[in-house]
Amino acid sequence: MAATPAPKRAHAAAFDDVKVAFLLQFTNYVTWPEGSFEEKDSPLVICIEGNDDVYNGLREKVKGKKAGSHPIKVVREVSGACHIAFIDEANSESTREFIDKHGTEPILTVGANTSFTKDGGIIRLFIEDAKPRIEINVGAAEKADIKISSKLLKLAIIYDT
Amino acid sequence: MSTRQYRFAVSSTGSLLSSAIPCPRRLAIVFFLAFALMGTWCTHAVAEDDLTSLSIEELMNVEVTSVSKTSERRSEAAAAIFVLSSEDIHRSGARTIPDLLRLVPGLDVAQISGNKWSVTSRGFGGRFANKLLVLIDGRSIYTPQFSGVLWEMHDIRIEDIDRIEVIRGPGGTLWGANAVNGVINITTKPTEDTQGGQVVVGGGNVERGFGSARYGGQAGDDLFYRAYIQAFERRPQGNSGLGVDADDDWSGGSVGFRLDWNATDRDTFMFTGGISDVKAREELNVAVPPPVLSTRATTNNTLQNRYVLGKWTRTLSDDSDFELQVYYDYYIHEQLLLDETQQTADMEFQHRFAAGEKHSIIWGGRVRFHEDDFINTPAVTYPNASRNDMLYSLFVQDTFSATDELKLIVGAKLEYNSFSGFEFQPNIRAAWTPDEKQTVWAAISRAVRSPSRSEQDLELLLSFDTTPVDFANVFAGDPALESEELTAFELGYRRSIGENVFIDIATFYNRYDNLRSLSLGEVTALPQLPGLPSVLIRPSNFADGYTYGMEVTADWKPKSWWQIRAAYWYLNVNIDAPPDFFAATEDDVPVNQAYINSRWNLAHNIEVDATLRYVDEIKAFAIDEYFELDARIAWRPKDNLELALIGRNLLDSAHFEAEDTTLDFIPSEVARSIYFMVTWEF
Repeated sequence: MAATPAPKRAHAAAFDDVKVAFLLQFTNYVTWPEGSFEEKDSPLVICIEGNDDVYNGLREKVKGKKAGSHPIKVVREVSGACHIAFIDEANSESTREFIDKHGTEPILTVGANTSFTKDGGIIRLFIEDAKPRIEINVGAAEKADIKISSKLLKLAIIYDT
Repeated sequence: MSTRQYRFAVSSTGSLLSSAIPCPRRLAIVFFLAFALMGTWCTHAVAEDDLTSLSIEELMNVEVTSVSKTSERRSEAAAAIFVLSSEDIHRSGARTIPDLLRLVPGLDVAQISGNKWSVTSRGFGGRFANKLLVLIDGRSIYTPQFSGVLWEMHDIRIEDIDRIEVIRGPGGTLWGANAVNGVINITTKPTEDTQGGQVVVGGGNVERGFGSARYGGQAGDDLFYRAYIQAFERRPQGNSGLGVDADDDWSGGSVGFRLDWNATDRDTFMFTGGISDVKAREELNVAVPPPVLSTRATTNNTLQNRYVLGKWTRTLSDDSDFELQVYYDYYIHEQLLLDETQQTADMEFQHRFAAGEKHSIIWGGRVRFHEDDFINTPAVTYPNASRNDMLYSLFVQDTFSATDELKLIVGAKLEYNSFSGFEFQPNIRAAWTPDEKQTVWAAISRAVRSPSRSEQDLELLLSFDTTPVDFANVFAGDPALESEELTAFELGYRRSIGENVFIDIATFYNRYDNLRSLSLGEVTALPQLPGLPSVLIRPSNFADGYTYGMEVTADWKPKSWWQIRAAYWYLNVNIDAPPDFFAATEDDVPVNQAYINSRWNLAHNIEVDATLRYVDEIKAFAIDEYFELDARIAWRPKDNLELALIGRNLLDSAHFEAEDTTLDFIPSEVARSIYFMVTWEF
């Protein structure tokens, strides 16, 4: 939307913008099991729950972008049809409910509330010293049959139950 | 002849035509302003584009300054802008648009009767308040008859509203003549977001019953649509102060659709249309010849609206696009003393592009055709019963990034319409963002309100009198009437405090010239009132004045499950007219208004919302100040089912909010309203 070229170096941003960028990045570092996509060009579905700004921001960013051969589709509510489910709800009940229901399905669950990985979510985004950080629950990833690239694992804090 | 009669005629407003720019564009402009500063010109903030081109390692080095993006977006705009999100709308539990607008600081919303509203921004109220522009998906919904909005006619599905964006202050440049004191932009949700079925039903004591069904689907990957049907019925509310139940019930229904098609990588199309039929009962005092002089009548007014709109957006490059919009709107309004038909066909285009590194330019134009037809009665006569107008306008706006922290916006609009000639509306705005936590903005604008059809052409019987002889008082419009002018000075400040608090302050000083004034004119015999002389009361532009005020909003999120919004606004009105001339009264809006809203997300999927509102007295109409409470409690036993219990105006069994002296129309109280609502998705 900006009409002039942007600076090369990033200095500061709002957390919601950072979440949008991370969600897009994760599509490059995560592999879903065979059968997660019907066809080579079936859409990769990212579901956003609980944060309108991330939803709107992500929708803008995915225009014309692909994850490999898959176009990216952004929807508002989480369900079993998601490849990535981003749950930004304040209370952990929604997270636990979703994990209970879909924890063994190949869905990359991402969230930002403090007990996200404890509740069984796979990737938690948080801020430490004003910088964004990632925490990964490897056990949950295994349960969901989601493969996370070692490159991402190296950058993250590992949560092991 | 009493003051009341003059006030009566003075408040009957009007304006000719307004140019409107569709909401997505307006949104684009606001976000554009926001991103523009967030991007290149500010060393601290980063444009979103930039973030997504970073690697993960680089992302982890970004400094996170605020939790929410909404505050940031709003925070960079050089205007007094307030947004009601779909969440705000959903949590309010309100069932009408004016009720939603009560939450916007700077707006004065008063319910006159069960189906009549006065909505205005920064002064000059009344049912025929004429200084505000209102759009739904780019279609202007005010009537050129008096340049106001027949709020009772527009039956839009609340659940389909994506956002309501309100800019208080002159939007003359981008939104045209008539956006003198503000613009209200209502946008519906993209069809991609309303897939599947949704059924809403509810009812209560005043909301006797309402229900709607919507179904959204898609055809292939690129075409999404939805269609809906809706109906409602509202009981008469409180009594009308005369000790009897008011006759002000309101009912109707509508059907409509919207379709979004991503035809190619660069082209999107949007189509929307609808039909609504509403009945609104009203009571009024009707002037009858001597010796009786006045009688009460009740009528069940009919309002029918049909519209269709299409819009094409083409992306030309990364930083430029082009939009073309066409719509047709037709309505019929049948009242006791007048039947009218209005048709509007409107086409507009807009082009946005970058010029060099520091300039971003938007320009566009509009052509509008308007035709009206009146069926006259002796009390309400348009001697020229049918009229066509053409309106042409051109606008341009440049956003210039003077430095990293300072941007300047300069723009102007030139309009020509067949009945009031040329109007020029320039404005200049600046926003200074010294750091990512605060913004100071200022603006100087000129805006214009063109005379309405009624002010130019109407002959309206006000009353009969018998001393010294039998005669009639008649307001008689003047085609030579000029536009009212506003020069507005605005200054605002926004600040984030910590991660959880956001404050927004807007102040203004408005200087008005050529305000409508009334005076006694000649005595003559009018063909529609044979047998007795008529004293004409003529409008002119001899009043002037100034208003000043301030609006403050504070948002605080003390916990992740609890957020609070508090707002306060103040308005001071001063109007002058020469001796023997009468102008609009100074005291027809409240001086102080405030509210505090709290939103709780509790366990077990329970939501609780409460809003405590205060509205100051209205001296001119002897309306007392009041406190009111609106509350909502909702429960989602399943993902796709919501049950809600909503109460509005809970503190008093009924209270008056306004009067309307325009047609000696009888106001009634606003009653305590409690209703239950079920929303089911499938």
